[in-house]
Amino acid sequence: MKHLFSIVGGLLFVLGLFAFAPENNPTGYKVGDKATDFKLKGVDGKEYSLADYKDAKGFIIIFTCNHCPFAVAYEDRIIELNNKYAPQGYPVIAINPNDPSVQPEDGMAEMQVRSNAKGFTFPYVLDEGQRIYPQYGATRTPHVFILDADRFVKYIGAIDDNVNEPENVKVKYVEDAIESLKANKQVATTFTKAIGCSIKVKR
Amino acid sequence: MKLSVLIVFIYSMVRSIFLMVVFFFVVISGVRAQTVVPVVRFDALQTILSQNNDTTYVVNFWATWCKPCIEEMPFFVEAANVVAGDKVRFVMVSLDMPRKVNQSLYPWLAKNKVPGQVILLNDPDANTWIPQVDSAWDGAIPVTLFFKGNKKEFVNESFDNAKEILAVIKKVNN
Repeated sequence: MKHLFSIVGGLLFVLGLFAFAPENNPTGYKVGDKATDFKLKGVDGKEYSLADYKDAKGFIIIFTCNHCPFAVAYEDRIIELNNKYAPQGYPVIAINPNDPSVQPEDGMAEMQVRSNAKGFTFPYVLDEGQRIYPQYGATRTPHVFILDADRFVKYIGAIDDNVNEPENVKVKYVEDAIESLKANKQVATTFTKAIGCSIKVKR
Repeated sequence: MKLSVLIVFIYSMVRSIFLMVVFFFVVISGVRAQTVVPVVRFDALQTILSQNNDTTYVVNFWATWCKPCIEEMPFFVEAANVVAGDKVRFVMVSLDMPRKVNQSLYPWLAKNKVPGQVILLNDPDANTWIPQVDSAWDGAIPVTLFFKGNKKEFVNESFDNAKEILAVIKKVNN
């Protein structure tokens, strides 16, 4: 009787753990998962959460950083995405997932310099403590996660199909996904891969 | 024949020979300082990846702007020295930006050792070829593919020393 009690207690405890970690996914989100919100500090000193955007129809979350040449190559295109889609209810939020102690060029001061120099029109926040990017499953910079208004993941992957030659881009994955969301249609290409810099974590 | 004409003739001949020799050495040293890196699309790399023989291939994806890639390069050089007599071929696939090789790849290669052969992969449609290297690869670098015949090992992270690299080579050799 005593053993049964402990076994049942143990099972309930384990089940309880799952109840408190609805968004805990060791390998990151898949399309269709509900993404976690966050409260991260931006280059303007303010804290940003998805919940702040009461009128948003969706979110273009981009894990990006200062130093990675692939991320830098996309900066102008990220600004264009925000300028085009934020007024339509789909703002860009850029999150730097790197540990500044491992990669000093990705500290907050450098983020501020970069944001000012390029004239970023979107929040550029730091994943302080690196607790958000593992939940999303970001593995490189840049890495895009498009969410709908209820934070369900609709697209994961690259911005377009040509990092080095913007003039030769044939497929704009992010734009196509947003246009589908706007039209209440299924996103045709929900997952893509691209070359990027690994995320800097202490080893 | 006048002596002065002869002297001028001999002088100009010697000077021509001297200049040819100087030119020869300039060309040679230029070739040595600037390693020409073949630029390929994925189909050329795919030919390498489809090799099925008694050679062990170590295909590393790197770039000069990737810090962990640069940090592990000496370990690959060390490992290559250890297996120098064996049938092991190192192919170091650079993902440096093709338009910036003169500022990035070439200066780096002039100062640093790499094992085997360096090629520059310039194929924009990465979403198509990344899974063809390995289905587990999401696109971050560095990664290294080891294979011999049908045996394959894909390492999705950087190496901390040459010993780790040699261990994977040994694994696909068996």
